[in-house]
Amino acid sequence: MKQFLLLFSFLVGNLVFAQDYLIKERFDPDNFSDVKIDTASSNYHRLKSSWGLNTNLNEDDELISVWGSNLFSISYAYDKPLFKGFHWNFGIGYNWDNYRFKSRNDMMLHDSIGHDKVKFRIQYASLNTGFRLQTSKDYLTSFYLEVNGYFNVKTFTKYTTWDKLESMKIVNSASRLSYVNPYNYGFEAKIGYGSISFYSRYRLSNIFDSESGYRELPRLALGITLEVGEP
Amino acid sequence: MRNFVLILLTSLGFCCISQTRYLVVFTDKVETDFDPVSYFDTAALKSFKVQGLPTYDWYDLPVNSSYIKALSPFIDSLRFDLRWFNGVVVYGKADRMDVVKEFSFIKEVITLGNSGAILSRKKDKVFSPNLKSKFNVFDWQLETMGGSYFKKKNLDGTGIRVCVLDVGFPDVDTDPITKHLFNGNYIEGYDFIRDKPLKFKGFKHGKQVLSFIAGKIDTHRVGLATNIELLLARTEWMLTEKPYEEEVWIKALEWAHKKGARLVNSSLGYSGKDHSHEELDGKTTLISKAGNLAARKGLLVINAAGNEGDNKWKKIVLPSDADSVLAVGGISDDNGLRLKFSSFGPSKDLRIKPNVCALGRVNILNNNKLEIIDGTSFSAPLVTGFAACVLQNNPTLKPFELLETLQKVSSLYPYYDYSHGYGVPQASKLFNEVIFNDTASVVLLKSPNYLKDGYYFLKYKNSKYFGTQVFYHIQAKEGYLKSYHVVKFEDDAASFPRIYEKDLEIGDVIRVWHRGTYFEKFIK
Repeated sequence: MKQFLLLFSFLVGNLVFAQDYLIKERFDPDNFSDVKIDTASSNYHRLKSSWGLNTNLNEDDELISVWGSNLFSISYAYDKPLFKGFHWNFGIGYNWDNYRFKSRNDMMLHDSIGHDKVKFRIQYASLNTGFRLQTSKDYLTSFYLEVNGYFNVKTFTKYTTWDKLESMKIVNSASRLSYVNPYNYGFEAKIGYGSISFYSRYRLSNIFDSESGYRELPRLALGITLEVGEP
Repeated sequence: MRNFVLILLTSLGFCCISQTRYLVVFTDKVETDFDPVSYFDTAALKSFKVQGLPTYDWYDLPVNSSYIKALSPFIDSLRFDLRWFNGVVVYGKADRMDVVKEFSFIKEVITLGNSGAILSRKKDKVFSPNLKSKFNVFDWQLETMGGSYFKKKNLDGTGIRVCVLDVGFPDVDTDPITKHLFNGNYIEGYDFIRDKPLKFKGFKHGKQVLSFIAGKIDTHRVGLATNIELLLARTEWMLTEKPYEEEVWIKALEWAHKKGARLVNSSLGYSGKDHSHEELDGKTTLISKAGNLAARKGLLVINAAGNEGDNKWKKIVLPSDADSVLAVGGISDDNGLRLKFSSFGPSKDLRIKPNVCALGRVNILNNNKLEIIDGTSFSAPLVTGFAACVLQNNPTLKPFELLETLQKVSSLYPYYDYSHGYGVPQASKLFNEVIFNDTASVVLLKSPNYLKDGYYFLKYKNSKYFGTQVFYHIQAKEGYLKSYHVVKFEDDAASFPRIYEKDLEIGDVIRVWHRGTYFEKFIK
């Protein structure tokens, strides 16, 4: 109790004598060290834009036409250094993923007719998080290696076929495809310098519902990312 | 796929290429073939005459070309020469430089650093339309320095040549705030990053800075010196900090001197990973030495103190540490006190820094919107505009005298601290012999039970001072400030600012500033 009263009187005493200090600085003349001080901001905010190609690598045969099977994404990324050169990333974005099938009969989602051209598009809202190894604190002058896991939520799907009947072009499309899984996830690895990087993305989950019976799409994509941001 | 990998490897390979930069300093210069009259702009020659400075100075002689020729097999490339340092900036390899060091005509080889920054921060707010009615804010900004005194005296920087070193000056010739300077005031511009005549494009920081030196809109002045002769120099690369900006800054300073500038505004600063606090003595880094040399040669550099107050660096940036460079800190438009980002003084050798301060949160017109922007970047040009008017009033002032004048006419003088320097320059004081009032409006009293309580306290003489700010510091007998404070007077005696005896030693000095009055007490 005595200690409580002592503490109480100390606190009250301090409150009574509180002064409204607007500036209160103490200066130590010996506080001029020869240590180099890195003032680069510790957190980074970046806007990223990626373009890539879905590939047939790691597949038994060439299911898709690579140059017609591109993917785009735009995302915001927050990056926080955990310790020297090692950063944690978190990103949120939106992806457009296209597949163009190579031969007329490779993909028969709706019918068994051999079409002139068949494309499948899926769009996602995307979250990703991972780690980054960076050679210097200033990302604009730094080499880096980044590994992220991603999780996509389906927002839109579309399957389109193009045919030519005599001189008439016939385009059919279907969207809101029920046999496409609502989520998918995977990993991506990036290597880069400054505001440019090259990535490879590997999808672990299946695009199509396993009960649909459709052949699964290639899992590996390669691409390039450009980013702007601060500091 | 093979092509893709090839592209990737090639791109990364390009990224890997980086070279070290050196300043190779020669032992001597050839003194025969230098003609000051043909080298200097007529404005420079006039400036030397007015200031009583010699036109022929060893520092201005060219670098010996035969030395450069002899050096060339040992370097990768030559960037440029620096007459003031009798050397050349080169790219090269360390082992080659070890060989070069042994040559009889080489005095020293200095490895150059990389750590520059423009000293502005993000915009804070954007006002709604009804724009013209808001332009009074520009008058208010200048009135914090007593701008109307200059207007009454018709002082607007006429005849004073000012050089602005910055990152870019987009559309300055057409912007409503700066376009008036392109009807005969603009002399020349040079882009030292691209080594070409300046184009009015790039990042707008330089345009904003220029606005606060010389801008005007309608009948409102944005800067005090609306009729200066203008030189513009681009010395910074915005997207990434190029690793040669410090040397470029020095090169631009030489150019400004050659062109006859009396004032150089630099809202740029150097700190960070290639520098340490120990270098802040004004004698160590090339850029600070150049700032000092500039003053000796007739032009005063006015530099932003830095925006490092709220990060790990905290202190002033280079070259603000130089004793002949006027370092300007930033204060709030709200309470007139240091903004949290404005860098702290003093210099390593305990000289007062920043020297003065000015608004560091200012209104600017940008694309027909009134915005508030932050940074000591904008404090410096406000003072540069002020300095141009002072020089117009007395053109014979040498840089050292001008620096001293600016300090003496500042709001807190002779009081100072390491956040505000001597305060905000005041035009009223320039024309008034009473620089401070020593009939203090506050008193320093011993506590009623001094032997028991052991403290002094500050008390205002008149209750009308309730709510006002009082500045006080304790100076150690060695000359530096042990501590400094700004306190708002409350109305009850218990909250009057206290100075405890335990914090004082014999030889200390307590100095107090309140509402333009000042006193000091020596501890015996």
